[in-house]
Amino acid sequence: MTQPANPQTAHGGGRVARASFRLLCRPAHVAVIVFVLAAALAAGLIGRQEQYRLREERALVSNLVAERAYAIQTSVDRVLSATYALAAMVRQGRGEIPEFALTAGQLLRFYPGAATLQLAPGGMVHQVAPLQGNEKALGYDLFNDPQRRGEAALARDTRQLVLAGPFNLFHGGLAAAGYLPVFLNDGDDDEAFWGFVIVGVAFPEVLTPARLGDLADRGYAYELSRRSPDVAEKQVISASSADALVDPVERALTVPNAVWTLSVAPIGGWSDLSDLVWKSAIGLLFSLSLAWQAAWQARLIAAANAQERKLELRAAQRSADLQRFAEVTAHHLQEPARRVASYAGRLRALLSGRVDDTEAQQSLDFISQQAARLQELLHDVELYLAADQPRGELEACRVDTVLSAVVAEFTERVDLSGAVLSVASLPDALIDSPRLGELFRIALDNALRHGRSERTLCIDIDGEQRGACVRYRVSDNGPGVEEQYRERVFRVFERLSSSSDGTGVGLAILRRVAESAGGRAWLDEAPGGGCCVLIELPFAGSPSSRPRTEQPS
Amino acid sequence: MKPLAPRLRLLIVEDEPGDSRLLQFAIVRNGFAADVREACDGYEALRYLRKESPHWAAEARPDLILLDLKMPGQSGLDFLAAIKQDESLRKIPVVVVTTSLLEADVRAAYQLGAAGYVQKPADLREFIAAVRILCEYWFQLVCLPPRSDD
Amino acid sequence: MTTPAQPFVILLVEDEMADAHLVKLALTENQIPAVVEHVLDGREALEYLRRQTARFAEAVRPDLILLDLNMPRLDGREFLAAVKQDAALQAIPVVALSTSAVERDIVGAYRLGAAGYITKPVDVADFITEIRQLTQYWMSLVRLPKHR
Repeated sequence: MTQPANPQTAHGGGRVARASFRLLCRPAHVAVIVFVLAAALAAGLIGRQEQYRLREERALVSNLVAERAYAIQTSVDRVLSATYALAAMVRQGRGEIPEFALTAGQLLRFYPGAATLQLAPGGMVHQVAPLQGNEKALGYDLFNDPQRRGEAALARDTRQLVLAGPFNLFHGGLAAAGYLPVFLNDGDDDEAFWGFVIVGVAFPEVLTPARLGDLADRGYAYELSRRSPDVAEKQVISASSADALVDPVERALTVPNAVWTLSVAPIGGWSDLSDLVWKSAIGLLFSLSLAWQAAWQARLIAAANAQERKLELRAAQRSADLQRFAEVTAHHLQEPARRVASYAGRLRALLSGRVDDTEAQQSLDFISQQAARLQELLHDVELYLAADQPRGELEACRVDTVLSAVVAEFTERVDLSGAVLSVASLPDALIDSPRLGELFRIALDNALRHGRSERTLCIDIDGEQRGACVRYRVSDNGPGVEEQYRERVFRVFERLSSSSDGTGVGLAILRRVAESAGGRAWLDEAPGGGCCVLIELPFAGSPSSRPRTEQPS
Repeated sequence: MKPLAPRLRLLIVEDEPGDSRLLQFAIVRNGFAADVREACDGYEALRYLRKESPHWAAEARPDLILLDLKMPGQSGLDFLAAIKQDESLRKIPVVVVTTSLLEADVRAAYQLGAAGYVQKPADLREFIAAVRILCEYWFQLVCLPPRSDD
Repeated sequence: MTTPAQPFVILLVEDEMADAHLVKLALTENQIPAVVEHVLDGREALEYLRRQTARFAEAVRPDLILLDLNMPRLDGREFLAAVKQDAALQAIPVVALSTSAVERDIVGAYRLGAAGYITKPVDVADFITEIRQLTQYWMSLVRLPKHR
């Protein structure tokens, strides 16, 4: 609508209600509401998906960690198991292993994670293989080293293999060693502590089977650490970087005398930031587009509503205009029609006795007749137009009272036509009594006028309540109305035969009254083949059927 | 013009019962039919019209009021003024039927909205003739406000 | 009661010459010695009653007004309301003449102060009877205020 709204429509009744409706439907509000809802939905979805992904990822990492931790444990156990072979040899050789260097050299080939094999009778390293590069170890007294004394004693006292270390070496790197105490028995039951068989654990070779480097390649940071009884703080054995891991998946692995922990977390944390950004962006876009669409729809609906209101108003105005026009026309046409009739009559009076011309008389008769007919038609138009206006207070009509009054009016006509009229007791309708009477008057007139046949005319008035309605029937046993004409007879001035008198507006008025009172009217075939006028009106007994018009308090 | 004079409802406001009877007699004598209610003064008439007693609740309002001006209590002119100021009653025509003839009363009656001022002739024949004209006018000639819109 | 010196004056407010002619015809047929002053609409009628224009400078105050309700310019209803609100004019009885027998029109006229409501019949003879009854009532029966 390009032109400004008609001020009359903008400031018409129901302004407050309309304004609040408009506020509700304002596109901006709708857009914001829809956006918030859509964004909340998207956020919820993304959040759930992220949670699910995280759980999946942790499960995956957990599997990975378990596998690698197992590999480490196996590898360490395997390295340490070298001591058992050596210890067996010591026991066999009663403390001596002939050609130790050669034997140990061969043994070392089977244990890739073992760096050295040593014999330390009484805790003092006596022999070491390979000797080259490890000469410094010779003569090293475990019980005298404050760092290793505890573990050495533990191994001796518990008679268990003990893993000492790993320790950080002065010249870099790590060193760990497995101490297996060896006891020899000298013929009697007592076994005497002989010393230790030691395996030097090679770092990082012992960790090779765990392929920790591969983890880093796959985007995970790892850390292998240990807590030992004599070392309070965590000692990092191997790590992908110095940074602390974020919420890692941890797996403990047990080595002699210590618990090691393998921790793995994705590099850069668990949350996939770029993925999240993407998803959020899509969610936002989705919400925005929905909001935009909603706003658009709201605007369309608002426009449609405005248009509808405008059309309704225009239709109401046009209908009122038309009604007024018709009333005025009917009224104004009445006047000249009456004058024509008046002066035709006057002329006849003047001419009577003076002019003996039958044609002139006849012409005057036609003028009078036609003027009278025109008046009759106009009068009926007025009646038709007025038929939708209540002619008294809306009330629960005592239909029996109204009907008996109407029947009384018809007594003479009924008697004259020799008809038999039977009236049943009827349920009450919600309509003003003058128009209820009019309904029966028209239906009775219709039956008396058109129900004539060679038989005695029987007119039955009955009816019943049907839910929120009452239905009245006025039926006759006359010739009836063919089905194809049953709608047509409700049109204004529709007559089925030119011979019958009357203008043919009666049934149109009947329908207009019934419809304006919230009911309807139609024709059907009576059981005996005659015509049946059916009138349906709101039932007076049910409160829901009361129209929304003003009720007298 | 109506072929048959309808039966009207009349309210005669008259303090003298004999005069009221005479009026009714004259109406019947002229061939008209009316349902007559009588009130002895303007006060009672107004109470009747306003249905101030449950006894009158079901009564239809009169089509025409015939009013004597000289009455005890509320004067006829006060009653006329009261009716013509009452939104629901002012449409009912009031004809003054009285014996006295004071020019001031005549003017006042018309100014207050009377639809006629009739001096009762003393002679019975003249009286009946006067009532005939009155009845022809109100019973036959004019259209009165229908009662259905009450 | 009219005397020859003071003829009964009817102000006929009627826009239609044909109808005004019928009224005059009916008065003549009944041999009623009333003077008919005919004006064509409500505005002209008020000008007449108030002697507002030179044309109506000598206008005689009517004893009765016969008013057609449907007229151009000032409508019959508006004219009736104006007369009944004018203290100088309200004592003049006004009888409405109309083709319409619609309840709303009848009630409206009486509420505005009409002293009668007459429908114009088709038959001239009926109309003559009507005018006879009308003039009998207003000219013979009732007393009207003296004003001259």
